[in-house]
Amino acid sequence: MNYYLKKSLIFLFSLFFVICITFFLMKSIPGDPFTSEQEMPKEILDSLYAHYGFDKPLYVQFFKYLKGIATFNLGPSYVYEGKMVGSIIKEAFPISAFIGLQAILIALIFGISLGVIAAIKQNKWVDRFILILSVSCVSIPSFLLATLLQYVLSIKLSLFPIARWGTYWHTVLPTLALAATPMAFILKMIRANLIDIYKMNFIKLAHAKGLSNMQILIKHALPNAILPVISYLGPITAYVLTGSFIIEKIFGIPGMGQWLIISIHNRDYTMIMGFTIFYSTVLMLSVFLVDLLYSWIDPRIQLKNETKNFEIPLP
Amino acid sequence: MISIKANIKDSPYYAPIMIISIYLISLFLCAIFVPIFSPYSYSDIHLHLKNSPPSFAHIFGTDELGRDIFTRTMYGAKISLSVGIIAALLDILVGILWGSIAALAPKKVDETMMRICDIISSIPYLLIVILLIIVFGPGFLSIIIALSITGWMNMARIIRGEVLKIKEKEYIAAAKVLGCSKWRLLYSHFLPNMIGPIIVTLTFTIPHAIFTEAFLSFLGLGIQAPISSWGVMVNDSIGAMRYYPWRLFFPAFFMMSTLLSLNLLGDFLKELFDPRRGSND
Repeated sequence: MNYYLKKSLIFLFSLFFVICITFFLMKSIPGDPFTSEQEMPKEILDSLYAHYGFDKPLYVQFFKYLKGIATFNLGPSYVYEGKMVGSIIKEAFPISAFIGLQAILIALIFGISLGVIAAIKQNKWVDRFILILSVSCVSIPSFLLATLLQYVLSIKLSLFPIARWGTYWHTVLPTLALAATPMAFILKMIRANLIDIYKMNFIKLAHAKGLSNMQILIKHALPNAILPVISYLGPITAYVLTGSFIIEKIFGIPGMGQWLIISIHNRDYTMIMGFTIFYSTVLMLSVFLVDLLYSWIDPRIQLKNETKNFEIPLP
Repeated sequence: MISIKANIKDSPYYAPIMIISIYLISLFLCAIFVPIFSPYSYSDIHLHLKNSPPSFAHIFGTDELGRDIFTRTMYGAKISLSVGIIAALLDILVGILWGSIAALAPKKVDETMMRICDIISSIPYLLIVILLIIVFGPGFLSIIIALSITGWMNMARIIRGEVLKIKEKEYIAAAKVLGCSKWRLLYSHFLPNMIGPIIVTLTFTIPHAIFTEAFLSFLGLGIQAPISSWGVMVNDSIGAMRYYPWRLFFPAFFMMSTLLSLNLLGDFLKELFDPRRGSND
């Protein structure tokens, strides 16, 4: 089967699968948002149910919800009256996306440059230091790192604002806290790739031609080492988006993650459902696009009929 | 197994692996025995002792309800390590079954099973974990169920790849000729030869599960009070960091050192079991 067609089918099927899981899991929770300590009169409950469509059979509700998704209408929030889930996403998503993209960019820049330095200085003390840094970055949970950054950089040194959202300076600490783990993964990957590549014959040929070390690195080694990192961008996006739940909570940023946490505590089911589906769509879409981009840049991938093993990034 | 032992002794990682193993084993023993023999319990409240700094009576100090932090940290170690180990073992069990069945089954079945794997792993796992926990209600059991539902795909892929590699070897053909049953083949010929990748994946899965537990506890969806886990303790004390730093320091230190040890151990073992990498790094 055509590579692109197969990928698209898997993407669409996964999306449908996620929507089904989310919808039926949320519906399987006993009780509903209107059950509370005080008994409500039956007439009021009935009219509430009729208003939100709960009186209809489950499959009718499901198809109505599917139709809503197709027209970008994710329904009203149960807790915030008069607010639509879609409009909340519209407000909150740009904030999360800004921090997320900035974190990915920083992770890429620092990951690639530190990885190159570590590979060139292999087994020297610089290399050892960078490796220790990367293992520590993988081993420190993002909420601890965020708290440490807050404590050192804003309380002790007062370089950056502690929390909240406003100027550009407010984005610095959350971005750093989010970027640490993906940076460590990219760094390790680039280092291992470069070390492998430097043993290959075409590098020896380049040396024999009399190219300088810098030219070999930039023209021959680096492009080949960076290629696999592209395929890793999908899982990194996933990491950054889900990592933002905690980061946004700690820094009090009014992004998607903060809203999701609040909705979970409020048992605001349409919000949780809408957010989960939106998140999954963004993540799967980015993984899908990265796959397409990667196979377009490196057509060898299409021939290998196997899925790569991503190490799952840690939260 | 003999060759693995010889490998470890000869490698430059011998000393670090030993140090890490000693640390992990002693942590393990502490996690089992400290809650039993400690004069304090993880849940008894002594309000007159609240927030007291480390002293001889309470070597790690006490928390906001006067509970002994040393006992709580070790009890938390027990919970966090159990979550990690049980979830990892379940992952491996499902992964071995799924992966080996896929690899040994006809091509159509194999393809379908691996497509299912792909689809499940393309779903962001943390969202599904959160959803499952909302449905089951937070707690020890639901974390483990949610983690094992979402975590087995990686293992299944690795096992499938290994089985496909081993399937072509002569000793498998010989065993087949001698009339080995499929289960015996899997149990006594495939499994011993895949032990390397399985151990490496195990050492990376355990910190992953501990991380997720801490993440969920931080969101209030994890282990519920009064039971302690490292995630719960860090979450409880993070706001008091400036005034009672010992409340954050001890659980955070043990969580990070354990994660660091497991990650390093995984890295070292990976180099040991992968001769292509091991020779040149």
